[in-house]
Amino acid sequence: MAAQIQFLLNGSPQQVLDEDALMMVSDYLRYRQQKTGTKVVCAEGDCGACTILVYHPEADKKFRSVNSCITPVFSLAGQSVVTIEGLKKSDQLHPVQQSLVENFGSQCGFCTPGIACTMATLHDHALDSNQLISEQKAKNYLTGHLCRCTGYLPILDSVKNSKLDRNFELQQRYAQKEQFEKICQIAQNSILLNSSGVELFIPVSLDEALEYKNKNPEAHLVAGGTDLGVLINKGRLKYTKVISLQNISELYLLTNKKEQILIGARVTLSEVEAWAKTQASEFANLLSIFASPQIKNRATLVGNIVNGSPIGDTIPFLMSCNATLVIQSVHGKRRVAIEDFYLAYKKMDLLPNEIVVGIEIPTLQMSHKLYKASVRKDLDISAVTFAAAYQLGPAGFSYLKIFMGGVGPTVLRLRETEKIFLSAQSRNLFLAEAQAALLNEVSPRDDVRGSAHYRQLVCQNFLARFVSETLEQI
Amino acid sequence: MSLGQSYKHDSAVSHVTGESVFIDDRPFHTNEVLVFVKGAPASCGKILNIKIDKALKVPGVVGIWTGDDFAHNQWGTIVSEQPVLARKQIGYFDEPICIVAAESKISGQMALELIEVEIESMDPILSLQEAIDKKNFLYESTPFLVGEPELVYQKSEHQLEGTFECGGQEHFYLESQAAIVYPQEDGHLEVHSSSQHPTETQHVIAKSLGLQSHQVTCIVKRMGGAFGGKESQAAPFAAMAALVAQKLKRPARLVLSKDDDMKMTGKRHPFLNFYKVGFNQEGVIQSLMIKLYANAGAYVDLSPSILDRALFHADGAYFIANAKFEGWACRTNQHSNTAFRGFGGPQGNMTVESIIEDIAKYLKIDALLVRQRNCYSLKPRNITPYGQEIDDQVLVQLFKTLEQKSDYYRRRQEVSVFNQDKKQRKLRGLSVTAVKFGIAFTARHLNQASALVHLYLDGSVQVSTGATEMGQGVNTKIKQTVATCLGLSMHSISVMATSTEKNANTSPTAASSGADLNCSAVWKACDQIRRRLAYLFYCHQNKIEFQSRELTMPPSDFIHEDYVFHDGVVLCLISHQKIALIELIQIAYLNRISLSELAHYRTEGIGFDKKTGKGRPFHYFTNGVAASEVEVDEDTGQVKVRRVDILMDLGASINPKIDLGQVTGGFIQGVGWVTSENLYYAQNGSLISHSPTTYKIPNIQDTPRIFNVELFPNALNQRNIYSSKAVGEPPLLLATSVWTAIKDALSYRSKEKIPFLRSPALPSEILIERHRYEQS
Repeated sequence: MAAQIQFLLNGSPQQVLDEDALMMVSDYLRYRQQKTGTKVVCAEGDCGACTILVYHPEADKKFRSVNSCITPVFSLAGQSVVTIEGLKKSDQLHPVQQSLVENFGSQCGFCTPGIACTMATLHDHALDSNQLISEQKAKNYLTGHLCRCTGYLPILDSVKNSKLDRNFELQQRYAQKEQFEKICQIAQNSILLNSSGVELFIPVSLDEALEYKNKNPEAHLVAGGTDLGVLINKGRLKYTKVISLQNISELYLLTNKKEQILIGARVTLSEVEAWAKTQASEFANLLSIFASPQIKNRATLVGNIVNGSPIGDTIPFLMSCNATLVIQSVHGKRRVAIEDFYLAYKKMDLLPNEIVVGIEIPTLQMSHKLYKASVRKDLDISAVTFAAAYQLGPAGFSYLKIFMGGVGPTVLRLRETEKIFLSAQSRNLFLAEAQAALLNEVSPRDDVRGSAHYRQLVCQNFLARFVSETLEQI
Repeated sequence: MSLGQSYKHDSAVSHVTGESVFIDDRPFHTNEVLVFVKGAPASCGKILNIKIDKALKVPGVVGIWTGDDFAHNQWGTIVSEQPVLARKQIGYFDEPICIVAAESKISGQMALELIEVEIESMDPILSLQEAIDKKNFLYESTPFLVGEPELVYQKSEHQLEGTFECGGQEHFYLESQAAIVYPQEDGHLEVHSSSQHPTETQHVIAKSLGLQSHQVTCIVKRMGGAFGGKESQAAPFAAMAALVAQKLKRPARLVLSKDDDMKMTGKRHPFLNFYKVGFNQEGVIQSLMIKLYANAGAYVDLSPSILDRALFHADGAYFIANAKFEGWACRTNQHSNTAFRGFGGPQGNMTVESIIEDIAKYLKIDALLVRQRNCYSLKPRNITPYGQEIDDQVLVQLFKTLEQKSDYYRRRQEVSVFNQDKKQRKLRGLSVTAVKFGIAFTARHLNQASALVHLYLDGSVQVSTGATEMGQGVNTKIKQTVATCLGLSMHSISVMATSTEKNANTSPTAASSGADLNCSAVWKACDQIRRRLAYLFYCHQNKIEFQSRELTMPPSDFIHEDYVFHDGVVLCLISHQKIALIELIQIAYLNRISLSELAHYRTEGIGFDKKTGKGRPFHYFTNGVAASEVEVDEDTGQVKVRRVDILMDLGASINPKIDLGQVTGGFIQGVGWVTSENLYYAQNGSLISHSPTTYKIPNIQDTPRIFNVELFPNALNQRNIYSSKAVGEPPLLLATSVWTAIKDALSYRSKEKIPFLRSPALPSEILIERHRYEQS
C-alpha cells in the first residue's frame, strides 16, 4: 500500500503526500506550483479555460484534453500532465501558439491558454493522421471552450493556419517510457491516503474496492469524477471517504462479443463514442453533441447512468436497446435491466455496498431513432430526449419501444403510446391519437431549460418526426 | 507608418503562453487574506440583524464587516445612492451585505454559511411590467419630438401598433470581478483591479474609506474581458477589498466565483417598448412613436445614460420625419443593471428593425426594400429626431453593396423555394439589418483623455494613458500611434499598465471611444515632442543655440512638417539632411530639453441640450450592415445560423485585423443575446441561470457555417485620428439580423399573421409562436 500520488508535470515527477491530493488540479497548479497559466472560470467543466493535457499510459496513448478544475490531483496518479507552460520549447513558441499570435486568436487572453492546449492535441492528431484539419474537426475539438471576445473566427483561422512540427509532438516530449518508469511502479500498488479528516482509497483490484465499499458504504465512489468535482467546487458535497476506481484495470475493458458488448465502469464517453461510430451511429451522433471532449475524456458511461438524472442523455437510448447493468458487491454479482434501475427521481435500485461495474448492451437488432432538444445544440443539457427502438412490418411497427427524458422524474417508457402504434392497422392513422396518449403519459415541468408547454410541443413533434422518418418511409 | 497596419495584439505572446498576469495570477503575499462576499437572502426587505459571532469563530477567519464599517457606505456613478454593502434595505437577491476575510477558501466559505441574516421580508417588484404599472421610475428621458407624430400617424395610409420586448444579458467576461489591495505607508492603498474605470475605482475607494484620492492608487494591467460590466461595477468590489486591507493592514484579495459574479452584478437592461407606426403603401415610415421602458434593477447605476442612448438609437439607420421617443427607467428588485456593449443602443435599434420587419410583412414587400426606402440619405432625409445631421451617404452605399455581396435576391428565392417543402420540418429565413452607432459619450464631460509619453535616451518609449486593455487591442493602437508619430519601431515602445498615478481624472474605457480619445491624446503628446525635436534639428542644422531661441517665436523658415520621423531617422525635406533620432535625443538631453510630455485631448464640436432634446451629441457615426440566414427546426425551435455577411464602415482602420476581431466578437456576442442567453429567475427573484451550465453563451459550433466579414474602407471621417472610426460596440447591434431572420422564417408559416417574437428567440419562444399558427 502506497501513501502518495505520483505523476509527471511537464516532464518532471511530482509527489503529493497530503491533502493536496484532494485539491482540484487547477488549484494545485495555480497555488502550489505557481503555474498560473491555467485559468479557472466556471469551476464546473463548462468553459474550458482550465484545460490541461493528460496522458494515461494504460489508455489510448494520446494526450487528451481535460478540465483541470474538476479533476482531483489524486486522479492523475501514474499519468503525464502537460500544462500551457509545457507547450513552449525553450524560447520557441509551439506552432499553435505562433498561429494564435499571427491570426489574432487571442483578445483578452483568459480563454487562450486552454484553447492553445486543446489545439496542441489537434496538432498531434494532424501529425498522426497526416491530413489537414477540416473546419468541422476543428470545431469539434474546440467545442468545450468558451470565448467571449473573438466570435471564434480568429481562433478557427489560427487552427487552419497552424504549421505542423514533429519536434513539438507531446508524446515524444512528455510520455517517454523512461520518464514513466519512476512513477508507474507507484500506480501499481493500492493507495491509501489519510489527510484532514478525509480518507482516500485507490485500489488496484475490484475485490479490494468491493471490500472497502462493504465496510464503508458511505464512501463516495469516483469513476471519471466530473460530477463529483462540480459538487465539491460548488460546496454541495462534503465527504469523508472517497474510493476511486481509476487504477482497476479490469474496469477499463470494452469487450465486444457477438451477442453483446460489455462496457466497464471506467470506460470513458470518448471511448464509447469511438465504439458507437462503428456499431451504433445514432448513438454516436447523440454523443457527438453531448458534453465537451474534455468531459468525455474523463466521464464514464456508467457514471452518467448512476448519476440518475432524468435528463441523462444516454439513458433513453440504453433503455431502448435493453441494456443491463452489472452490479457487484462482496456478496456477488447481479444484473438489472436499466429500464428497471430507476425507481424515482435520483433513486436507483442500488445498495450502498454495491458498485455498478459495467453495462451490457445487446448487439443491436432493431432500428433506433434518437432526438434531443436543447437551447444550444452542442454542449447543453437537454430539455427533452427521445429514443425509440423499432422494427417495421408491412403494415406498421412489429416492434416498438419508446423512451423519453426530461418529461418526468425519471426517463419514461411510453407504453400507452407504443400500444396505439402497435395495434394500428393502417400506418398513417393514429398519429393524433398517439400524440394525445403521449401527453397523458408525460408530466413535464417548467424549468430553466424550457416550459412544460414547450416540452409538450416537442414531445408531440418528436413523435410526428419519428412517424415521418419510419412509417412514412415504408 | 504603423497606423493602418495589422500589428499583432500587444499581449499576444504572453496570452498564448499563459504568462499574462491577471489579478488572481499575482503571487500571494505571506500575510495576504482572501475576501468573501455574503449575498442577501431575499429580493426585498429590511435587514434587522446580521449575526456574525458563529462565523467569526471559524478557524482561519480574521474579520467580518458590514456596511456600517465604511466611512461612507455609498457610491454611484451618476447618483450616489447605492450602498457598497446593503445595511438597512435589501435592493435585490444576493446583493452584497457582508464581507469575510479569511486565510483560506474553506474557512471563508464556512463562515459565509454561518452568518445569520435576520430580515423583515417585503414584496419585491420582479417584473418590468409590474414596475411600469406601479410607475416605479427612477429616471425619465427628455423626449425626442420632431414634426407632428400623432397627427401624421392618424392620417397615415397604414398603421401598426405593438410591443417589442428583449431580455437582459450577462456579460460573461471570463475573468470575474477581482481586486487586490496592498496597504502602504501613511494609510495609502495600492489597488490592482480588473476595472474599465480605474479613476472611479480610486474615487469610490477613497470616499467609502474616508481617504483622499491622493492616498489611493488604482492600477489596471489588463482585464479578462469586461464588455461594460467593469465600467461602474468593478468599484464596489475593489472597495470591499480595500476596507479589509485598511482594517487589517494586510494585503486583501477579492476574486468572485463565476456563480457569485453572475448573481451579484448587473447585466444588460431588459426593455419593454410600445410603439405606433404610420407608413405609406411603399413602406416609408411617416410617423413613429415609441415609449421605451428599461428595467434598471435596484439602483440608478448608469441607467439614465443607457436609456438615453436607447432613445438615440431608436431611429436605427432610418429617417423618421415625425417622431416621438419617450423613455423611462424602472426600478425593480433585481441586480442593478449596467453598461453592456451597446449601452442601450441595441435595445433601441432592435425595436425599429423589428417594426420595419413587421411593416414589410404587413405590406408583403421585401424587408430589404423597405429598409432601403427608409434609410438616411440626402437632405432633408438626413436629420435624426434629435437634430443631428448625417453628413455622408455611407449607409445607402452599405445597403447596396451588401445586397450584391450577399447575393440577397437569389438567396431570397432559394429560401422561398426551400420553405415550400413542409416535409423537411425546417424553415429558413433571411434578413438584413443595419447599425448607425453614435460615437461619443453622451455625457459630454467624459469625452476627454490624457497621455503621458516618456522618450528615453536610448530612443525607446513608455506611454501611459487612461485607456484600459480588456482584449480590444487599445494598447496595440496606442503603440502604433507612438510608432507613427515618432518614427519608431513597435518593439521600442511599451504601453504601461493604466494607473491613476500616471493619468488622473480619466474617463472609463467605454462607449467604443478608448482608442479615439486616448490615441488622440497620445498623438498630441508625441507630436509636441516631435515638434520640439524637429526644431532642435533645425537649430542644429543652422547652428543656432536652441536655448536662446526657445522663448521666442520660431523663425518663419521653420515649418515642423518639413521634418519627417521615420525608422529611427529624422529627415529634413528642405535640406535633405538626416540625423539619427537617437543622436537628436542625445543633443536634446545635453541641452536640457524635455523628452517627456503629458497631453490632454478633448473632443471638439459636440453638445446636446437636455432641455430641448436637440443638438449634436455624437462626434460621428460608425455604420454597418449584416445579412443573416437562419434555419429553424420546426420540431424543436432550435436555430442554426447558416450564413452571415457583414460590411462595416470603420473609416480608415488603425489596425484592420484587430478591428475585424471586434466585429466578429461583437456580432457573436449579440447573437447570444438574441438567441440563447436566458436569464432565468426563481419565484423569489434569485437568479437560477448563474453558470454556463444553464446560461448558454455561443459556442464555437454556434458560429455561422459561412461567415464573411469585410470592412468598407474610406477616409471620410476627418474628425478622428487617422480618419478611423470606433469599433467596440457597433457590430453587436448587427446580430439583430439573426433575430429578424428568425421572424422572417416564421412568416412563411404565419399565414396572415405578423410573427411576434420576443428576444431572446429561445427554441421555446419560437416553437410556441410557430404552434400559434396551427391553432387558428
